[in-house]
Amino acid sequence: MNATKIDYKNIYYPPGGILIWIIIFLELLTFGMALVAFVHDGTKNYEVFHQSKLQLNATLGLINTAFLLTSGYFMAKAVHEFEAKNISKASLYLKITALGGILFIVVKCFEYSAKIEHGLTPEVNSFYMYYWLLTAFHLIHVVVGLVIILWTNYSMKKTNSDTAAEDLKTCGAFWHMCDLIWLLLFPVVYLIF
Amino acid sequence: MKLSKEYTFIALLTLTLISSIVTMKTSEGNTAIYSLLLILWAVKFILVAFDFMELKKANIFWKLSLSFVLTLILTIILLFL
Repeated sequence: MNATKIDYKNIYYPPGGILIWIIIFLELLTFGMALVAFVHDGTKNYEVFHQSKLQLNATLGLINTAFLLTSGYFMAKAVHEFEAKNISKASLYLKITALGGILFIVVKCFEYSAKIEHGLTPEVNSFYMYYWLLTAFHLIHVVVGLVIILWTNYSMKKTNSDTAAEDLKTCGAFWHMCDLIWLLLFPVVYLIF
Repeated sequence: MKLSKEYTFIALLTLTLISSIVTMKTSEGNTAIYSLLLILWAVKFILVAFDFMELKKANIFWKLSLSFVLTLILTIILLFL
């Protein structure tokens, strides 16, 4: 395990590394622009968006919010334990983080299957086009984050592992980015209109 | 870390609960409530970024940049509502 001290006050070294933060900003701007377009179209077709929103299950969305926030909390704890050189505890917290991600995916699949069953596909109207595009694109990020978490957990537990605290912070930053996107996406898509 | 992450986690869950109660009691098309709701979620966004992602330790440039992006997105959305 490498232990290098990084000065995070240096503009080039934000926690997790500058590259992951550039990715985070690009992702936030991409989702942000899509959400602005969603709200803009929603104000023009208020009745369509309102009726469509009533068909969404906000309770499932809230449950998913709780799963993501809980897994984000355990991700932060995993980074802390890794820095304190408690590798087994860090690994346990990473597994709980991954479990939160898996539960999110399970709930999302349940939600998607109900929508498909009722014929609420992207072709129905512009609300559902945005709904599928935004939530599915976010879901892809969660799946990628999950793969990164499981891979990091595997590599840090190897004997003579060269995993550094910064690697775990980068992994954590990606996972928290999924939280941040969901925190923008959920209220706009599920709650307003 | 002390208990900072625990407090943040409790605050995040509490804000989620408050926003769900607000949503259930919202009358249709109430822009003021929608605005309040978006601000509540923005607070959660800030808590995750600054505490869980440790942005509070970063250079002020990153703190201001993220706050700017969040404010920009929310302002445009609120202007359309």
